[in-house]
Amino acid sequence: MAHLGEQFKQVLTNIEPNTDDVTNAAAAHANVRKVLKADYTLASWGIDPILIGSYAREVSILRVKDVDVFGRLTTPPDSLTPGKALDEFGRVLDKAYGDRVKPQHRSFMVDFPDFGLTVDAVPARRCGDHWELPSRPEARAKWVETNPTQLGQLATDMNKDSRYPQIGSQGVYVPTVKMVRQIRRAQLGKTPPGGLYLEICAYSAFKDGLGTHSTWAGYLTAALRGIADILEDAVEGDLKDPTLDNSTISTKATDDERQKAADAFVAAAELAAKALKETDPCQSAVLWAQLFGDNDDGPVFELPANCNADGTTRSAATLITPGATRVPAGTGRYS
Amino acid sequence: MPRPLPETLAERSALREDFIARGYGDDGHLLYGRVTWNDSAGVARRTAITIEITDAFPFAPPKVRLDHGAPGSDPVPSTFHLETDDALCLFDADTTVEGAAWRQAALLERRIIGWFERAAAGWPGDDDCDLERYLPPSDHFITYDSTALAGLTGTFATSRSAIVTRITDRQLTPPKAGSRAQRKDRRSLAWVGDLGAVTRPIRSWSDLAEALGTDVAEAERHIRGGYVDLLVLRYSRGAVHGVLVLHAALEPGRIALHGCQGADTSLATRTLRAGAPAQVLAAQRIAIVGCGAVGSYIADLLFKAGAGRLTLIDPQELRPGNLVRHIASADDVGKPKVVAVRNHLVRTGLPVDDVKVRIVSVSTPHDAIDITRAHTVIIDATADARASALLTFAADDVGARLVAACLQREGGIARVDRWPLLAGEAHVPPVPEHVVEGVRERGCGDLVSLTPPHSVSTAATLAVRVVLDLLAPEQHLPATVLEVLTPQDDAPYDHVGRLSLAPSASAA
Repeated sequence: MAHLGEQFKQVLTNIEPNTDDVTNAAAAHANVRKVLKADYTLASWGIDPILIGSYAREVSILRVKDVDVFGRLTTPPDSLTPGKALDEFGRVLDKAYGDRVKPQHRSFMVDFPDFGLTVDAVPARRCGDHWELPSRPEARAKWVETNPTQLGQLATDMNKDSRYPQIGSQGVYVPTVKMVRQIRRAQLGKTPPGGLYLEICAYSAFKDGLGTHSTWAGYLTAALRGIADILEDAVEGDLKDPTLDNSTISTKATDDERQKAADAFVAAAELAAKALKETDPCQSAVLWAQLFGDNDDGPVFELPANCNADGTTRSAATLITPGATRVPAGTGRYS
Repeated sequence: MPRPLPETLAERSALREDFIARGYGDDGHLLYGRVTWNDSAGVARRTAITIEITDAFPFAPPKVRLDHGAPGSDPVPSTFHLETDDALCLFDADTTVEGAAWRQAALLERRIIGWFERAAAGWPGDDDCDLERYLPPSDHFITYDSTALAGLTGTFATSRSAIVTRITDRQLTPPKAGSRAQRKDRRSLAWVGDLGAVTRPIRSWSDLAEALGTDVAEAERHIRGGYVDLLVLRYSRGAVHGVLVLHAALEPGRIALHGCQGADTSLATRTLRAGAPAQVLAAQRIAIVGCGAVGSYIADLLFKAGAGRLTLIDPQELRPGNLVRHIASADDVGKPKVVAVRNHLVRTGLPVDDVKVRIVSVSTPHDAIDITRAHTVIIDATADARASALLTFAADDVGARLVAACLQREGGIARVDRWPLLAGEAHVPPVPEHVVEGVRERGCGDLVSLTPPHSVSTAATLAVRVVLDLLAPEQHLPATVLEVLTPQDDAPYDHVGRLSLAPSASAA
């Protein structure tokens, strides 16, 4: 087996959001937050926006393309309707951003072209222990339960809890979710389901148990197998929402798209298993490189420097051959 | 951070896979695992470690550290051979890289287990005196004379320059706390004390307090008084004695200690590296006649080797053109050569009280006989036909030990002859002279030999070896040592190396 530990460590570096991503995401969030809090009506409803989404859960990968702002209304009037909540949000954001705002079923997407990302701003009000947000897929809006901060807590717990996979003292969950997101992007591109759906699948796979491994390659291979099984089951059924009891995850993906995703992850799991089983490090590396694809900076899985692109190993003349480090004078020298 | 060299990748990867196969976790940076070892009572212990295959691999061992964060790991008490970053010191610097144990997982693991077991047993037979390595380093360079300070404790004056702080042997009474003297005089003193036999490293003030016992109160009082910032502490490990020099600084709530580089300036330490012949040479009174290029290097080598009683004899002044082959520095241009050589010897820091200079030439039989009678060894580095003839005559007449050293053929041949001859010995015949178109230095009458500097040091080294051989109970070197440095046109000087010629009865 070739585990390619140093190469996987480099993968995690290559998919990590860069300083521009971090700076721009923070700036865009701060901008939208300021706009929302400055409005008199929203302020009277106790607007308290926070970051949610993959960026807040620290599972974002390079490039950060969207940031989610959860517009919590802590003191709304009891009579507030979902339609009214959406309309007020829309009014405030339209006034500030004009044609950069695009309304969606349950949120408003604000484009920040200078930062190369969008902000999804969604209003929400308290619903028992969690929240509900307005959804308007048709003319009449309704309240839909949600608990976005809970997923962040579950992710943190999964990553830190020693009952779940660790390598040394480092949690395996968050880095694996990032790698799964990258693999989704490489294999499915812009086709839904998106990163959140795959993240929920990864969470479920971890919860079901991945077995005991000791390397990134081992855990990722097991996770991909688990995700593939869950995706296949979810094509016919639903994907359970781990943040809300008796709730399932909705997705924009059609049945065909979900089947395509399941097929892609079955293939990914098989490719990973083949790469892990391979004893030649260069052959293995080529397979992993296929799986991870490229990002804006180039190949995500970089081949070791002693490997050719076709998986052959570079000439043995460049290796440290036996005798190459021998010092003729031996030991006990002084100068 | 640069990536590992491609040539090293296969071996790095193989070592990682080997450890993974042994059950170690690998996050791409560190390998995580546990080793099982037996403590001194024979009870099995299990301790978590991390292994970092650094960029220097395989030319340096991986860094193996204690993994304090791992749950349920059997701890290791403070011990020697554990670096300040918790890395285990597993290999000494002289371990050969070829076939090194750190290049194979099984052998490295066995070495790690051995470390734990030796640590548990208190490092039997270990007498390394390097306690300063267990503390964060200070950039202070401290010198002290262990002979002058032997047996003393208390506060001592220091002399500070930009680079070196010297602990003097001037013991001072520290100012009384709160006194005007203390407020006025904030000179930094050093406190000298004794740790005795140490059984574990000093890593903190509390470790030091435990080792010093009741003396710690005095040391602490001086440090908190603000006038002591250096501690000079004698200690022993096994039969070996060492000195630990610490810089102590007051920080909020604690005294921070840093390990200084300390160097002993006692004569015994300064001459320690001179080697075995030092005692023999110290007993001699050696004349070096001719302090030009070869003579200056002979003086330097013999003096550093332990010959402290020298007489330097030469009538000439040092010229700028001499410097490329001479031991003296440009500061001494214009001075007599013997003075220039003595000034060089002064700069070694060794005592020169018994290095005499005579700005004279050897020009009469009386001169030569006086010299040979007053010295136990005479070195002829004159390359002067008349002076050499006089010294040869005088040595033979008096029965003195004489060593004549020279270079010939523009530095292509180095030759050393010695007297007296043993029964049946004779010197090798003279090397035939090759007439070379000469070069003269402006303002200097004699021809200049174009002998390169490295030939000079070779001839000097040969001469010193002959001197040492002469002083030994038995001679192993022939009466003439002749080395061809540059192949000549004529046999037998046409091959580089030591020449072994059958001595001729007609040799001079």
